[in-house]
Amino acid sequence: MEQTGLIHRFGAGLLTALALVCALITGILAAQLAGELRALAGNSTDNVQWSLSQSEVEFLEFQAALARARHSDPPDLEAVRLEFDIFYSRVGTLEAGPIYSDMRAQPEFDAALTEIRTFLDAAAPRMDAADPALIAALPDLSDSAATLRHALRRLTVSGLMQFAAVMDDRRMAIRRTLTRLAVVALALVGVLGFLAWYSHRVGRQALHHGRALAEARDRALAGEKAKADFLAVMSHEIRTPLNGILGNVALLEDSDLDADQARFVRNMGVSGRVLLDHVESVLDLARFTPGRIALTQESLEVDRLLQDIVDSQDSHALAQGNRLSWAWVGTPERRICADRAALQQILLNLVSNALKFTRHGEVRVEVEVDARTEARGEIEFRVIDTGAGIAAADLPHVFDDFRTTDASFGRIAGGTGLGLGIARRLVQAMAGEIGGESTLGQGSVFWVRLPILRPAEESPAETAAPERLRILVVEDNAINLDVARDMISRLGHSVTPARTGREGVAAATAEAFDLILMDIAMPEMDGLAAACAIRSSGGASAKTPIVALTANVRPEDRDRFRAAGLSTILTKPLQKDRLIRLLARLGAVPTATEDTPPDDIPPGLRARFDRETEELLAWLASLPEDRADIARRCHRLAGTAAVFGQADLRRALIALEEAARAGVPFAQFGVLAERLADLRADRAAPGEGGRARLPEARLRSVP
Amino acid sequence: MTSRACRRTFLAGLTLACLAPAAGADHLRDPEGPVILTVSGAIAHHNAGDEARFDLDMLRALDAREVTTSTIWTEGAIRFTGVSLDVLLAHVGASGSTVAARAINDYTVEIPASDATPEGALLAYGMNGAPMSRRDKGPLWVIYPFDASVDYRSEVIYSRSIWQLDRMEIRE
Repeated sequence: MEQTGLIHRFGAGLLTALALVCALITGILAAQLAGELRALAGNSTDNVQWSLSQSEVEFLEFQAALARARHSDPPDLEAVRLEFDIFYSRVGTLEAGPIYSDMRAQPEFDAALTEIRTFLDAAAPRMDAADPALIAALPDLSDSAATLRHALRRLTVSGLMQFAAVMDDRRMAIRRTLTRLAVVALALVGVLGFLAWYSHRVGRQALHHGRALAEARDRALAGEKAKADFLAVMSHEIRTPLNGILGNVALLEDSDLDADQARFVRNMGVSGRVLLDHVESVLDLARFTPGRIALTQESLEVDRLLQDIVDSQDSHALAQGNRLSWAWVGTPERRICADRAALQQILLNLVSNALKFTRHGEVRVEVEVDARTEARGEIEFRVIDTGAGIAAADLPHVFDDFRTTDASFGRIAGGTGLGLGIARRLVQAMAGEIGGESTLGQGSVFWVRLPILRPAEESPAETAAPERLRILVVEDNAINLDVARDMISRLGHSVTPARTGREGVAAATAEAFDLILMDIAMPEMDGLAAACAIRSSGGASAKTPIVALTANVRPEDRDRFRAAGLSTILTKPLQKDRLIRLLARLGAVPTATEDTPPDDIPPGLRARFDRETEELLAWLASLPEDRADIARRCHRLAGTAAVFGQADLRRALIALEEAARAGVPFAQFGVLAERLADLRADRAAPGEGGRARLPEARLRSVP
Repeated sequence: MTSRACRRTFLAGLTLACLAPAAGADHLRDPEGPVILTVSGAIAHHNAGDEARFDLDMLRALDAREVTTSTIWTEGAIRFTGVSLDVLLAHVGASGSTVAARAINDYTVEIPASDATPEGALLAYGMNGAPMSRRDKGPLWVIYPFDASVDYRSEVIYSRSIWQLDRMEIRE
């Protein structure tokens, strides 16, 4: 490529030089031609032919005068003298004029001229003599003139021949110059033409290259976009079921569990959230270049953060025979302001990385806060392991993407090799530093230093007065809808569910809500269209804040969402703490009265709920055949149960609904129906403290 | 035509139309020696019918002018003495635009009045201080300052450089 370019440049330079040379030669030839033409135009030749022929004419006149003088009386001598003088003058011109010098160089011309001069010199004294002497000399002069006639003829003929030859030479010279000029001009035109063609070709090539480059870029961009789209879709596909898992784990956490179960469920929740963060991190890695990672500042408990990480990795540590612990160095700092997800991700990556390379050893996390001022400081985490260590040569590369120190890495530890790369990116995005030191065979220390804000001790939001909100949840996925509904009702707010965009719009038009949670990806009318419709409907909730519920958020989506009238975004799976923060921003905080029926439900409604429950249970006891009917009726009552804080009943109904939809043989419904019967028994004795618990083991036994 | 030539034309026209004769009278004095030049045509002053005839002394009495130049018919630079054509035309009160000049061998050529400028055509009667005989293209030879400008080295000017001049007719 470079060589071709060199040849191109060389060729172009050569052609240009050639064109310049041609132009120079053309210039020289043109100047030469101009000189020759000037010689022709600035005429120094007079009319040579005229002068030559005139000399002959004048000589004949002289002869005629002589003849007339001889035969007339008195003779006209004055005429003879006049004609002689005229002829004499003419000959003098031929002898002296520079324009005749070429002719005089001709021997024949010169000989003739000499002969004429001899005659003139001899005749002149006789012409100047007195009349009688001239009369006496007339016959002799006449004879001499007759003889001279031939000399004069030779003079004019040879003169004219020579003149013709000179003129021919001159014409030939001009013709030669013109020919040369034409040839060079043609060559110049040719070279210029070639140059024009060449530059055209180079231009076209450049254009072609530019186009190819643009196409390549477009293809690359299209590829990038396809990748981003794929990731966004995949994230949705992964996060939607994860939403189900995490949501149910969250509900499970809040149910009555014994100590072991509570620990298992909590670990499940932690691992699930870690999985979620993993998915998000991979997406972040692909989607965000450093500087584009959107970070939030939130107040978080350092102890809780570290304990969660240690807890979630504990089983992993035990499996490898490792002890995992964390400890403060120096004065503990209860809360800091930082991006929780990012910080969790960084530490988790460092810890899991340390665990991967440690066998029957110890991994210790140390945390230390350097409080620079009242509001600002720097936090340092050190993850210290007693593992295999890293060779000094490899150490600088461990933060590269997809980096593994050797092929055996995968065999020993597994993993994508993304962990430290992601950590580095996040740390850089948080304006922090990350580094590591290691001794082979002894262990490694990875450290992270981050600038932090030190929040005031208590967040005022957490002590704000409770307020009950009316919330519309638009969500096409039944489980997600239930999770959201349940989570919100547990926080003491009322929920209106909508399964489609149209339902949501209808509900929002009819009723004034305090908040609308809007799923984005829905069939028919999606969340954006529904939000638009609600905003422009002029209905009861036209001004209500609408929050997007979505799993896939790309940076460019935020603008679209805002344009559609969406106030903010809650990423799925819906997490309780995030929901609480959102509601707190709206001026409401959770009442945290889990499973406590709202106080302000009118007694009539309560009675109706009880009646409907009884009816359904009775109907179920009759073992109905219609599965769809079972699912529908269970679903309806489950919604109502949520409103009344009957979480156990609701969950049982949902399990039944799911089983009915899944086509589980009715015989196996038995356990569920039985469970419902238990619940009915519980309900029959209101005020009893121990609420019925849905034994998870039994639920799971349902296929 | 150069702008200089244009200016010359204009000045010559002015000269021919407006200048009063040097003698200040209609009648020129009569020639005493042999007549070497006869001027006829559109002239205001005469001495023989409607012609003005000059002998050498009459021409010498007019303001003389010298032009030193080479010619294509002679060898080397020559000092010509004579009367400027514009002076002569003014003297006879010429009012035409063209001078038809004729030589003793009946060679005839038309000289435009625009050539009659103080630096232009000269009626030479002396060559290197000596009178010009007929054998030396005398007695009168119309000379231009050939060496002074390339404009004077053209075939047309050479053709106007009439020698052995003896008649001039001023035409409208």
